[in-house]
Amino acid sequence: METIRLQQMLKDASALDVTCYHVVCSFLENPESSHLLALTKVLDEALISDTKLNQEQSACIQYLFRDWGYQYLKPKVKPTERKALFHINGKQDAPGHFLAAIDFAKRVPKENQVIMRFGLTLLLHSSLPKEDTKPKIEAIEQLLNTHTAISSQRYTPTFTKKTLAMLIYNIVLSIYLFKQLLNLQTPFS
Amino acid sequence: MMPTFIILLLCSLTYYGLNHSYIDPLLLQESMLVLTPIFIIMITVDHVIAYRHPLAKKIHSAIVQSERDMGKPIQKKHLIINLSEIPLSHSLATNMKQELNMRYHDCEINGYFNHEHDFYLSIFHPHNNIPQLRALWQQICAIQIKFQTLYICIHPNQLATLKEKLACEWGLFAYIMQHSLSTMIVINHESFSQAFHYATEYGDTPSIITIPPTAKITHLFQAVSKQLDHIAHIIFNQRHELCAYPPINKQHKHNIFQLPAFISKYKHDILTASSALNELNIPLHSINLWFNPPLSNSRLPNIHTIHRLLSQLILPITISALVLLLINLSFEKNINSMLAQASGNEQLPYLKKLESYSKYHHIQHKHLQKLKSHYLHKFPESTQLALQSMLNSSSKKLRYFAADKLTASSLDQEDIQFLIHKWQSPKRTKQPDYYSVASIIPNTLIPESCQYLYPEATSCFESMQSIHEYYDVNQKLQTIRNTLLPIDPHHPEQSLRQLSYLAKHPEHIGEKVDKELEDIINKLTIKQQHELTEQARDTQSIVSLLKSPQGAHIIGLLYKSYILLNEAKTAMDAHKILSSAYVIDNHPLRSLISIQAALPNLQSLWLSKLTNPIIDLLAEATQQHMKAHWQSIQPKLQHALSLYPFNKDAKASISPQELHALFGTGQAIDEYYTHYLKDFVIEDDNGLMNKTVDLGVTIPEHILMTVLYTKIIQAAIDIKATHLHAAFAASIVEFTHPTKQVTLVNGKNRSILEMNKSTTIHWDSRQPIGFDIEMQNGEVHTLIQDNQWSLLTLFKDLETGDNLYRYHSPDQSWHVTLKLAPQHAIDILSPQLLESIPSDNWN
Repeated sequence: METIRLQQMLKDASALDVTCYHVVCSFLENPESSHLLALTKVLDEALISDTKLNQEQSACIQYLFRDWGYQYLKPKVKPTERKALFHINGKQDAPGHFLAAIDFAKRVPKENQVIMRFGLTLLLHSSLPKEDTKPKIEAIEQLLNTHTAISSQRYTPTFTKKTLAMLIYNIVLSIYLFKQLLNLQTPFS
Repeated sequence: MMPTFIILLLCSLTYYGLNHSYIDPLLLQESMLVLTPIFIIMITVDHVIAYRHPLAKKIHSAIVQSERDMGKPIQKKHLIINLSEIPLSHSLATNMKQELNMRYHDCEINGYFNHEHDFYLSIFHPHNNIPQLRALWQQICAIQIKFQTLYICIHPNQLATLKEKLACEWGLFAYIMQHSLSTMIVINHESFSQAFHYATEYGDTPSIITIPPTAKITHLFQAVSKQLDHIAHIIFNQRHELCAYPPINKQHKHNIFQLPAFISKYKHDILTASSALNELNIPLHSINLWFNPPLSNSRLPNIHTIHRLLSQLILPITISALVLLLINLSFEKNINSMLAQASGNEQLPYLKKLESYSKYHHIQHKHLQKLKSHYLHKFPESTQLALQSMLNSSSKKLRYFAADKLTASSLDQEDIQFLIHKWQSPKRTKQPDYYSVASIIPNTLIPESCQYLYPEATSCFESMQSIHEYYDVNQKLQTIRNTLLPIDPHHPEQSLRQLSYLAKHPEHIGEKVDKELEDIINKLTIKQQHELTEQARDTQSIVSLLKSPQGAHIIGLLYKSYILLNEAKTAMDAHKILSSAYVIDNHPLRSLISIQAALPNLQSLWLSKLTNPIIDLLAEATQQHMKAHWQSIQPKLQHALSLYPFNKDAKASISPQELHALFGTGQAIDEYYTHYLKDFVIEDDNGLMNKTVDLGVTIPEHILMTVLYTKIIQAAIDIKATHLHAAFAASIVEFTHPTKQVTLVNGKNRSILEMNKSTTIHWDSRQPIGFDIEMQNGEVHTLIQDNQWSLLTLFKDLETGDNLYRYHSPDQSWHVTLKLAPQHAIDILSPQLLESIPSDNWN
């Protein structure tokens, strides 16, 4: 529901981008292992619906989110949950390869734009030490060159015919009032 | 609505008062001039009291301190009402500096200044205790600080229920918002306000949602939704940059990242709150996602700001314009009515006063034209055209002459100059003929007239000269005729002296005129002015007539007539004189009329001009005298004729006493006729007619008819002071089976009526009258009437013609026919005899 609302608002962004944003947001709001598992399902569904990414790329995104979340909750995650978390597309992956997965995406930057954008989001909100994430963030930013400047278009109310008519009426009335005031004189006393 | 209604009602009453002269416009104007300074003084006193309020003192000292620090005066004042139940500090912009902090009960009062040096007064209660906030608001009202903008801070969770809150517990704030020039909603959140602050500061994110003025709900939804989407979109696109660079902690970074989600979460509530405020007629200017005062450039007057300001003024301006319009209209009406009340020359001072009021020139013009028409209508049509042409000419002399002539020389030079200036019209009028111009101008104006009125005519001067001479001689002859006998009926004593002198000294009649007439005739003969020569000779013949024995006789008769006129001091005297003139054949007035009829035309006309004024004066007084006395009878007559039997449908009937007083012999109408009318009318078989003597008295026909009817009533019944009486010869003509006999009941007398044998009925209005009709079987039908007009009510609707009256039994099975022959000259039972009597006034 929340994802749909977000997608309606952010019409220009791709559905996958919005879902990726949503899962990160939602996890930051409620950093629990059960919630993380629930969000992986939301993300997996979005990746299935997306036709532009190949299986490898999808698996990379799945792994990135899982490992990122896992890094947050490491001590709290039970072994069963960890197992379920890293069971991706029938294969059991090992945690701790978050940065390696980022590097994997960086190899072919043109094709892996979505992965890099998602990776950047995760890096910015990562629990990893700043020294580890900072070079990666800078590198991705350079590769993405994402800064698509959107000029702030301040909303200006439309100037309707009615407004104009009212404005003219007000001005004419004020002039008329002034004229009437000047004319206020009686010659016979 | 209520104040507007009261104002409009007062305007209407003022206009009504002005129009119907209950309120003097000048008094109203003077009252306004007096009341305005009083109001100003009252307002000043009120402000001084407000300035000395403790809260005002603290605020002013903070302002003064800040002004000292900043080195510039304070710009604008704004009010922040924080209802979010969390302090504003989360939401404040970095450029806001706190200078005032105080408490009122549990309420916090804070004062902030920004870089623009605007002052923001914030009030806040941590638990929104409404009674305390209300008490604080009353204190703020008492200090009379005028705030430019109202900021209402609310928590995002309060947005969904804002409408309900404003309708109930926040009613006071709804009222404040409704009466504010500009209201802004600020969303105050513990975390996200700060996040929005960063997003605005480090990104390119707008944080203000502008509300379109006077928007429809769909328009409003669309506008707000579009702006929220736009903000969310920008933050979403800049989410990496915003989280990467600002010097912020991890939590802030998360909050910034979550802003699009936050907007998405509260978008619906923001829309609901906007529509709620719109429904409550709150002039919402914007919704701010954090407390972000607008930048100075946005406060520069633009067309929307002007429109917004003027929209607030629309009602007072409209009402003021309406009031002024009404006052001005009533002034105009007042001027018009004053000018309409003044007549002729009285209007001039007013019209001259209007000269210095250009606004009323159209009224002045209208009344000047009316005044001109008023003067012009005193002249014949041809003269009007001549005068109009002179007024429109470019000759000052002609214009002055025409205006002087129109006003009959009743105005001074200055007034005439004003009129000729105003009356001159560039509009070309029809060219008047020579006669109408020459007949009114003096000889000296002929060249001027020809030059300006007939510039193309070659023989104008000669023609005008000869026409002028003609009118001159004609005038002279008229003057001679009018002054031969210098008498005037309005001055009878003087006239008597003149006539007496001329009767004794006939040699002085036309003493100096003879030679003058001779000269005129000679001149006219040479110039072959035949018509005027004839008139001069006729005038000469009048002089000759006066010198003759007939002339002496005429003077004698005029002398006698003037003696009579002189004696007629009252209307009654005039009546007496004319009564005798109508009766006596050789009365001086009648002799004069006889002589006048026998004289040739011009002489007859001349004599009629001497006799007619005497006759007219006497006739008018006589008529007035007769009329005045008729007016004392006419109401009584009118009342009598509204009663039975004069009015068949009337419920009340006239009593014999009333009838006697009015119609009895020698009573009101009879006496009036004898004393006032008799001498002026002829009585014959055809009734009453005005005498053919031409002495100016004519009695209206309906009066004569009333008198005639009085005589008829007198002939039909005996009208006594106590009762009425009439006599009839009654006989049975026919009765059908089973009628046996008919008995006449007349008071206490009973007599059996016999077939074709007359029995006299004496009807007395005091006694009952009727019949007993006996049937073969002994049954008796009684027909008896016992009222003042029993005779008429008994035989009402029974007449079949030729004095025959038939009574039918109720079942129409039998009838009785009687013959009633009146023993008076006129039959009182005649149908409609009493229903056609006129009762009108004299005129």
